[in-house]
Amino acid sequence: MPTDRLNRVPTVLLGIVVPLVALVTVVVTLNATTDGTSAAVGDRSSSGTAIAIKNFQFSPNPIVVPVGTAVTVSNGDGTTHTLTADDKKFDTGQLDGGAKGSITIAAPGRYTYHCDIHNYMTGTLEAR
Amino acid sequence: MNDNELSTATVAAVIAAAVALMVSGWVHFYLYFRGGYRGIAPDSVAGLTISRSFALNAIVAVVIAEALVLGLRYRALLLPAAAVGAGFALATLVAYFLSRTRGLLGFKETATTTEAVVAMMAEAVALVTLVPVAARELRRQRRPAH
Repeated sequence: MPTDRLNRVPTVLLGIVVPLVALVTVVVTLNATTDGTSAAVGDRSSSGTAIAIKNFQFSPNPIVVPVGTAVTVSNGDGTTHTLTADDKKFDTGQLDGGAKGSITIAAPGRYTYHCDIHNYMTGTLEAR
Repeated sequence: MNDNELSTATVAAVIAAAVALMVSGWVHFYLYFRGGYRGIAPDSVAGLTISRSFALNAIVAVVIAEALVLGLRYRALLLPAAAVGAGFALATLVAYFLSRTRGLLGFKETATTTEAVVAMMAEAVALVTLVPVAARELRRQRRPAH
């Protein structure tokens, strides 16, 4: 009889099993994995040739990049992003989660860019 | 077996649903704290952003799972827990579908991730196990007492 067997389980045990499993899972998950927020979103310096996307943010932002040099864009999120100039002068195209792309700025100047999929993701780069 | 006794199938369904909801909740917890979903899309409804809904989903999933397990001991709890659990699983599936199509709270998901597949399967399991449990409990409660 299932009810008989259930009745033999103490109520306290029945009540504590879910919170206990949840607590252990939370502790194990937080200790066994790295935090996407604090995990490096790349060098925070304001110049370089690499832009990282993590947590739906571009970093470093703003950044100074050399004119005519390929700038690597790494998508560290699990979802697809783009790095697209507001004036469309450069565009990585769609970068799947974990993928990399590159852009090359042909002329000096200050450019604003965004993610074409998540338009609240914005950034600025200056080409010198 | 009399009508007031829980069948093995019901007990198994309730436990399976509780586990499934915990899995779905864990996926949302993981995505919020570790998957980069903590700061996405600023749009909100009554203070609820898509990011916060991930954290809220994880908490609600654990609460419902707890109510389901306790429903095995306190029978009066089983119908509301099963009904809310089924509704929650369905709402989570609908929310994911919306985020993949027209967008939800300013967020549009474009890729099918492993986490999404695991969560969808868990929510589907919760839904198909809880609907019959809720229906059975409803029938039982509506039946005149002898």
